[in-house]
Amino acid sequence: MSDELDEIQAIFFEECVEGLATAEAGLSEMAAGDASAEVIAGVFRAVHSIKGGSGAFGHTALLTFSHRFENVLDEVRAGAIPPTAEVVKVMLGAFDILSDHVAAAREQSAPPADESVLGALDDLLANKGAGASAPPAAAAPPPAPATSPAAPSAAVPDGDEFGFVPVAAAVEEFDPFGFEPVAVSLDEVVELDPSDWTVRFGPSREALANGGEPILVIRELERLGGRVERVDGSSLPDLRDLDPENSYFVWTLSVPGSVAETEIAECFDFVAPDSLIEIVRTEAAAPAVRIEPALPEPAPLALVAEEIITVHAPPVAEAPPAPVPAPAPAIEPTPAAPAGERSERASDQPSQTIRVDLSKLDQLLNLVGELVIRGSILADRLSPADQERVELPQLSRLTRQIQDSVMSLRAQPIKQAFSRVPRMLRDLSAETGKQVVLDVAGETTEVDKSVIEKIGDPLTHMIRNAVDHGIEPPEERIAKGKPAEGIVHVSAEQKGARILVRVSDNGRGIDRARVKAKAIEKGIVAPDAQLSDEEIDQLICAPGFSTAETISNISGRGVGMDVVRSNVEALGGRVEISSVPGEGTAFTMILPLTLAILDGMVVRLAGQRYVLPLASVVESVRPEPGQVQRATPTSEVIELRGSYLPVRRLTDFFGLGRGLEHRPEDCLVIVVESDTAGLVGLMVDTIDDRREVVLKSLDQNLHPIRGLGGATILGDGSIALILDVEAIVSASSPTSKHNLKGLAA
Amino acid sequence: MSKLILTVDDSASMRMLLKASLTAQGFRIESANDGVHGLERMQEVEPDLLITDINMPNMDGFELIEAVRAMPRFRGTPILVLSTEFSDDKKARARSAGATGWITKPFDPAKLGAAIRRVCP
Repeated sequence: MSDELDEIQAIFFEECVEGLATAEAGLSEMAAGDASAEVIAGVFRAVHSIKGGSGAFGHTALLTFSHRFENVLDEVRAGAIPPTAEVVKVMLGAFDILSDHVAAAREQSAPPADESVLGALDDLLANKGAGASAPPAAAAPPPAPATSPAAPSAAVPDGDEFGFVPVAAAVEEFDPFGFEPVAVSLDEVVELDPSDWTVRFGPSREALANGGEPILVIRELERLGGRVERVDGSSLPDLRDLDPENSYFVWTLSVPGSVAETEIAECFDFVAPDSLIEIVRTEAAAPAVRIEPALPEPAPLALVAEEIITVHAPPVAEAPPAPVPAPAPAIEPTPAAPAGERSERASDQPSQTIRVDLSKLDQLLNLVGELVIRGSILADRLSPADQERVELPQLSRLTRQIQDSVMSLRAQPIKQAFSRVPRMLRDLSAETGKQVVLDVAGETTEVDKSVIEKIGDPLTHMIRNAVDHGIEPPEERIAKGKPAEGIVHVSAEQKGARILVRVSDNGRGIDRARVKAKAIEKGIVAPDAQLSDEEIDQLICAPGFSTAETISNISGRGVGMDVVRSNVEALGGRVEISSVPGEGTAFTMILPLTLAILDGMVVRLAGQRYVLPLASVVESVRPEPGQVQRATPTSEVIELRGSYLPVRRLTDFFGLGRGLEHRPEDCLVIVVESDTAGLVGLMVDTIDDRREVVLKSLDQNLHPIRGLGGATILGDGSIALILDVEAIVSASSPTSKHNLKGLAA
Repeated sequence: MSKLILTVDDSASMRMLLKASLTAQGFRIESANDGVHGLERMQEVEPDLLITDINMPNMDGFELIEAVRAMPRFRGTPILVLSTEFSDDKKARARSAGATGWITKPFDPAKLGAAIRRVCP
């Protein structure tokens, strides 16, 4: 059972994350002025669900906090507290603490300090949102907020009044709402030899209308040792006046005095409150009642009727009472048979979604990959006519569709990774005193789950960086003629087989002179190095260059951008930086869609085969003598229809041994389009083939290698490495487009 | 034949928790994730007992109870509310909608089982 419970708990935390995202989105909408009932209800429900589950899993602190947050939301929902900007602000603060509580519960760490926020929430409840800006600290209740009398609904629910008595708290020692523990009764302890109980029970019409079944109550009393002494049917009307849906009987039972009153009361938990329920100690002479039922009040006539009725089953109950109900079976939860459990769990899921272990999807993806490879091996071995005959093209198309479907199973909206951002910005903004507005775009972009999980930290650093170093303090911005509020844009988009995640700000931009000075001081670059603006910007990501200490002294918490770069490179991606002094900086993570099928061009370099992604190929050229020219001693350009493009010899790039002495006219130049450097020519020995390849990640086996995006298995079973065009063209080199500007013009 | 219970809750973990603790006590469980789905499942599976949450999207527990009670074949079917709420007016609403009983989350599996036996013949 505990494994299963862990699994359910894991799902609960996933729900919490989803709930927090919903709540935050709703609160943001409220902050932006949309306080429609629907939005408020969404936030309420999200917090409510977190509260519900937290109780079930015994996360007391989370339960207590979410409960009190929910109280306020309930009042807002009911219209008692107007959703003013001040109120929404308090709720955003509460949301932040709620997130912390969820994290603490998940990691089993100490819950966050929530007194001041609870104080602010209580203020809202107390003054209905008016003057919510009262200093929260002063009003903060002492710790152990569960028992704070300030929370209105923390009062003990009055079970007697309506018969709806809460059954119990899940965790026995935990009693957040002040419920009276059911199991312990003073009567048991104090009364050593108590007299018996006399219990009278007359169910109301409503009790029956709501599906109540008096016989079940009586059976339960019998289980406690109770005995029906008498049934009073004196109010039974004539047949023609009889309402078949009403109950006309009053049962009188005696229950052993050793039974706690609460246990007896519990039997009536679900009996409608307008029913007759009486539980009293039988008078001193009580034992006699059981032996010789000398009945005090009923008239003899009624007694006759009662005897008849006692013999027959009570008319309201369809099933006759079992002669002697067996004692209640032990209701300790016991594990069900594993096989049954599994099938039940499967059917437990709502029809719309199903949770599948990620490793199963990966296995499926790998198998489909193998299928694709086998398909291309088959294509290799069959003549085109034979391929048609066995309908291989159709099979390949189907295989491709299967692969796409499997890929889409792993894809998730990047929203999940973005969900932490608003919170982070609020914290940063409070920390630094800077005013920052967030602008998010493309959050529905779908990205492989593994990528989403891994971009969280780099994203955090980039945003921290943007606020710490990019956005200026309000007074500085105003002095520069900018609005006091800085903007941080966070966006995601898919571009071909890549995902671009960008964090940009409209702050002061990179201070290149200081960056360069620091890099020289740290020995990262030589003092006399001639560096382009792009190269200086890239220095931010250089190992050992701690931006936190050098450009501003604010942070001290962030990790350097070199960590961002290595994280992103580990994902097979890279980081681009662009900055305009005084106008802002943009950091872009360019990430691959992992494990995709790729349309590739198989090329040869020094006799070995490599795959160039077809998506970036524009054209291929067999250079005429003189068409490729030396631009500088170490760089070349190709003249193409009157313009010059930089050319990179891939054999040189990968150190495959043949240098500039190799004649360009014996090679092919493949023109590729890149995001970073525009059109660039890549020189290869020859083109072998064009085919679909399955991209297999290298990062589990090899350290990331610049210029290589992965590997694949070709039709003949041999392995080919896949080229990363962006990395090749953006690799720091003398042939970067920056140096060629003059030449090309 | 063991009792068939339909549980309606928008939280998957809560549904699973209910299912795990109640199947262990010999009940058969069907689930639905909101009131609309619950009403459909109710008619499909005709359970011996309905356990429903209150705060759910699309159709909440009150509406579900009313809709179920309005169907002649479910007039006598016991309905338990399982909710974190416990205010008297919510309970009164549930009762006037036709609920048989109210259990406050978090629930103790054994107590829940006992409560079910109390309303489910």
